[in-house]
Amino acid sequence: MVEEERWVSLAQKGDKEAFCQLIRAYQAPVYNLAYRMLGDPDEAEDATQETFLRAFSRLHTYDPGYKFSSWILSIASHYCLDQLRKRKGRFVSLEGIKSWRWMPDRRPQPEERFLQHEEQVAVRRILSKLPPQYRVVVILRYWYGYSYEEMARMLETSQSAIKSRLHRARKMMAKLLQVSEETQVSKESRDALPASL
Amino acid sequence: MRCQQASEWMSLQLDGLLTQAQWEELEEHLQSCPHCAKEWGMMLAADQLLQGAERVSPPRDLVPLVMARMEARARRQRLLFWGLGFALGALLFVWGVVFWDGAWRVWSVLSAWDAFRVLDCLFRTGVLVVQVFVLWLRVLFESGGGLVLISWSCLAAFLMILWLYIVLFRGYRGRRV
Repeated sequence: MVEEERWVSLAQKGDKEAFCQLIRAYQAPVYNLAYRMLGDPDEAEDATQETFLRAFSRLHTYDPGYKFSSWILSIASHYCLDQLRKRKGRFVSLEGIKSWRWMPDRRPQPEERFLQHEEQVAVRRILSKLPPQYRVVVILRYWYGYSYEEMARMLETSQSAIKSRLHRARKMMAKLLQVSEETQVSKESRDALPASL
Repeated sequence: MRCQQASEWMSLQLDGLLTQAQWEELEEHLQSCPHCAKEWGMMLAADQLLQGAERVSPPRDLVPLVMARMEARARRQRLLFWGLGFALGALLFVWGVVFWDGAWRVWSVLSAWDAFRVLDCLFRTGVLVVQVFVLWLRVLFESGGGLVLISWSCLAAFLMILWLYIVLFRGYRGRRV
């Protein structure tokens, strides 16, 4: 942490090498956030680069009393919300999204790996169905473990708004899982029908 | 307990923000309300699904890409700064040459009295220019034509700001390094 403060301080004075250290330290969390928000690896990579460019040009506004990770993720969140706002209106189906670089290949995999893959697909599908304002709080809560207070500060809103968004997001996710489960059950019973005849 | 409140408390319970007494009250409601019990089950399932979700990392080191974009942006800004500076300097130079050369030629052939008259004339011209400006402002605000002129001025200003925004902040985007 002391090392990080030193990098931030040097970067604020224009030291690019120190800023490179910050990029190395935070590229994974920023990319993860962008990826979960935008659902596309190329867009996530672009958003990550843009986040660091914005951070560098706004370093003078960074308050050292605030965690650097929260500050950089706040910039990334706002950028992703802007991108989704711009994207609004043009519908992007799940099928239209390019294949995922992190996904396991098509060769037969052990059962555990297969289940993991299924879970990742389910997570992706659920997140893609949430409105951006709900999606961002879910990501900040589940992947980064931020408190209501921290999220409110990062997203420049009130704690009650965060509480409400998280509650609505969870309700929506519960509903989506229920629908998905019911669809699965009806599909299984349909598939089982010809065999029993 | 109403179902709406129960639903809100479920979310708080998942974040560990309910007191023991509140949790017991919620549990009691869940035992008596199948709809809420089902919702709680689904919320728990979604919670577990997200808890187990992996983090993804960028497919490659982004440092060189960010630095290249940063350089490209700095280059563009430098170019714009020096370009505008050069254009302004050239304009001032031309204006200076034309104006001061002309003024010096007039000054050198005039007597002191004539010089005073020239200054007086310049002063009157200045007053006239201010009067014309005031008149223009009055016309602008008192007639329909003024509104049209304001609209055009606003449009021109907007286009100029948009152009600056595109050049300064957005011009380099879309060009993957």
